[in-house]
Amino acid sequence: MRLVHTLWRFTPLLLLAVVWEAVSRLGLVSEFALPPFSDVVTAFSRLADEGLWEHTAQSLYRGATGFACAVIVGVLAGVLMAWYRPVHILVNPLLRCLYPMPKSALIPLTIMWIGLGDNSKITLIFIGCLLPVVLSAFNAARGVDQVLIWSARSMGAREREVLWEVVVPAAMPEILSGIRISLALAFILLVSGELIIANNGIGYLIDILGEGGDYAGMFAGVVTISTIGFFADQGYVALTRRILAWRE
Amino acid sequence: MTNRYFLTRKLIPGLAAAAAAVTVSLSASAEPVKIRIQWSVAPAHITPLITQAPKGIYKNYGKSYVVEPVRMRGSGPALQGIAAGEIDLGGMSIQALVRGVKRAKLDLKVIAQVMSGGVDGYGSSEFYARDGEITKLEDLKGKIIAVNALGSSIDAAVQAQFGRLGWKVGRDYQVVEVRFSAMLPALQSKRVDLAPLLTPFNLIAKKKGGVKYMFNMRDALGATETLQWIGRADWIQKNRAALVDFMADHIRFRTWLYDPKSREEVLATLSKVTKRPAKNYASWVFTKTDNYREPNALVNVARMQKNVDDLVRLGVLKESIAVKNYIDLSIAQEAAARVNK
Amino acid sequence: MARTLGNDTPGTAGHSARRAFETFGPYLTISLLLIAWELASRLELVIAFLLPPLSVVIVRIATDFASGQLPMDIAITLYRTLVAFALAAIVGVSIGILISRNATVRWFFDPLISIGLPMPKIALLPVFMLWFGLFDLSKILMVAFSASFQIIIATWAATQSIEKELIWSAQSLGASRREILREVILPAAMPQILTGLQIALPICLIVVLITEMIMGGQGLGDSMLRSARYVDSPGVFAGIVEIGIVGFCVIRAMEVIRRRLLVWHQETREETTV
Repeated sequence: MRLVHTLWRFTPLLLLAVVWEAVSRLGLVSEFALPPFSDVVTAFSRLADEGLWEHTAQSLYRGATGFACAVIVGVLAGVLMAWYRPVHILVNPLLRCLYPMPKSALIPLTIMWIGLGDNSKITLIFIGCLLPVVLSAFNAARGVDQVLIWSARSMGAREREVLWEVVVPAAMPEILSGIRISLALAFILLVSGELIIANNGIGYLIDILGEGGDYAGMFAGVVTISTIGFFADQGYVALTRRILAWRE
Repeated sequence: MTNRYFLTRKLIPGLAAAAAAVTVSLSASAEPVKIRIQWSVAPAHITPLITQAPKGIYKNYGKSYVVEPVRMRGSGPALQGIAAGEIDLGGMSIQALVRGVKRAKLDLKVIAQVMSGGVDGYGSSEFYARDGEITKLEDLKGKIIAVNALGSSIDAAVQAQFGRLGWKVGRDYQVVEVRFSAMLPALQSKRVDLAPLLTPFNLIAKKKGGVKYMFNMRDALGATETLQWIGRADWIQKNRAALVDFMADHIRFRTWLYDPKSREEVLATLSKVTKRPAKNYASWVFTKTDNYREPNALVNVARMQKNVDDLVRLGVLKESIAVKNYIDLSIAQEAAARVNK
Repeated sequence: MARTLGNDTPGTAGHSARRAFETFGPYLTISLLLIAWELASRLELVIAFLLPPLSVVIVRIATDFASGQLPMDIAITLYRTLVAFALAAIVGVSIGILISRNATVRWFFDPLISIGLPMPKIALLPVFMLWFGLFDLSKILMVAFSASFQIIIATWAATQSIEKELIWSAQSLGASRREILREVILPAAMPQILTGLQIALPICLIVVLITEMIMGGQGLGDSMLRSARYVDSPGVFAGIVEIGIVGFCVIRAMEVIRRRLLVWHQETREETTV
């Protein structure tokens, strides 16, 4: 029963695969731009023997590090910006300039300061993931119901207690929703960061395969990272539900 | 090897040299020199194959030097990497050399050839149109031409070829940027009317049919020095001894790449590096169909100067340089003498 | 409002000092950064190719502005960004609300969004290019497609986090489904939907710039890539500064719009103390 339920839930993905296969087989799009799904699966099984997982692991390490830093720094920065006005005044302009920057535009700066190694990619992922976390933490903390704060104060709670025990929990749903977007962005960024400079990683693999004309292989890479992202996202949503269970 | 021999021929001169090195420069150390080489696409760049070569070819690898291939797209980041000391050699075009010298004001030297296009008896990048619609160059009037990047050699070739008809870009034809990997579908789906198809795309296209060969880089610009290893003069000078060792090994490596006896092994190595089946490469890579790779990695200075002059004439380059001042062939020559003696 | 109730500017000497900080504080960080930049290149800590002096970059921006090239590029990039954003917002918010209202729609979109969200969608650029051409349309649709996922999940999450009592009490008062959506759900979800849009807008700008870098066709991304290709460092850094400024304005505008739309909400209430 559980199995049937799970299958039913994932049926839309199956439909997607069928549409993909049809679009390509019927020639609605050149097979060089989008090879049939079945070819991608074949390419996947070939690449799985040729280091696909090593490359993926390398990328996931970079992505996880950058993402983790973004969550910690982002939640702190967002909440503190909402709570202490000076932090908001000093930090916000910097963030506003950094957010809309394509990470590839920052490469001249990272080459100079961070070099070409893992750290440069981690930094770019970190910056890219920061925005959704900061913004949702900031907006959520600012929007916390005043009554909650007053009543906490009237019960003699200290400022810090009010912040961490009233404001942050109340802001949690929106913060968690922002983190979900960052989690997804991390997967996109770890690929795009490796397209321009890298010696390994799934983005590197996707790019060299695409440049060499192996589109099936390239999409096998894209599908792999999307699938991992899918499970990460589903896992995260389940986790969120558990964290927020007390609200129901 | 006797102890005495070891003592007199190896140890004592070795110690003397080491002592001298230490006194001359504090930065000199027993560690092998790390040579970080930028590349972008294999097998046009053979750099990523270096670390996969069978033992015995790179004899001094790990002793006087090691190689770290670094993949970077685009000459802009590559030059920044060189300037910041993050990479040591870039596998770059002539345009990158000239702009690096003139604009970035870097003291650059070309030390080796990587790949030349349109050399007698070898392959050259080819331009294709859709079969049936276009029969001659004149039919392309008012059409859309794809190039990989404005200001690239491909762009220059298009300008040169149409320039012969008296055509100007923008007035008589339109140029758009399309990545090499998207050229074939863009051509097939009529988004563009003429596109350069690099190997293996031209082979795929010919097999599928529906495309018509129009001209190649050689028709447009003659033979071109497409890619070369370029580094900072001071770094090259400081690590010259290690570079000669490396280049000697690298010349052996080039022989191995083109040796029919090692063909299978070469294809397997290439397949491992590019993650593509060897059969994709068997018919063309490192043969006469492929671009030319000079066995001793020597740059053709006169040809390069002509390329620079052509690019300046076409307006692709704003400044010119006397290339002979930026080429140091002595490393490759010394290495070749050592290998071929 | 949380920030007025929090510890306000501890240690400031008096009223005027605080006023000065409020006015000039926002420029402080950026100014320090810019001064450090100018000094680093003037003192030749970094060679000019890697970091051209700020003054040179400013002159460059001024020249480009006077020649009309820069306003043109900004207009083109902004046009693409805003059209794509509007498209993504309409599609995203609609799908997001449908998902929260209808179980079948939810069944269909839930896994698709889960897989689409982390997908490097730029890999589909060739497909967009073949279907929609090499010019504006393919860029705009690519961007709208990339950004709509974020908006969908923000909208969905927003409607989910509405307190159930609110809806129940509206129902008990005899409100129709439609009224509940318009009068209860949308207003209550608005702040969080707006947060989703605030996140999506810079993402739109980023993807526009990336498509311009890949496909050319003018705009700030194209001009910056061209500068990089021509080893024109002042041009590259001018591009970084220009994108920073444009992005700053776009984000600022979105904040203002948010405040206008949410005048009734907690976060925008007048400060109670000075």
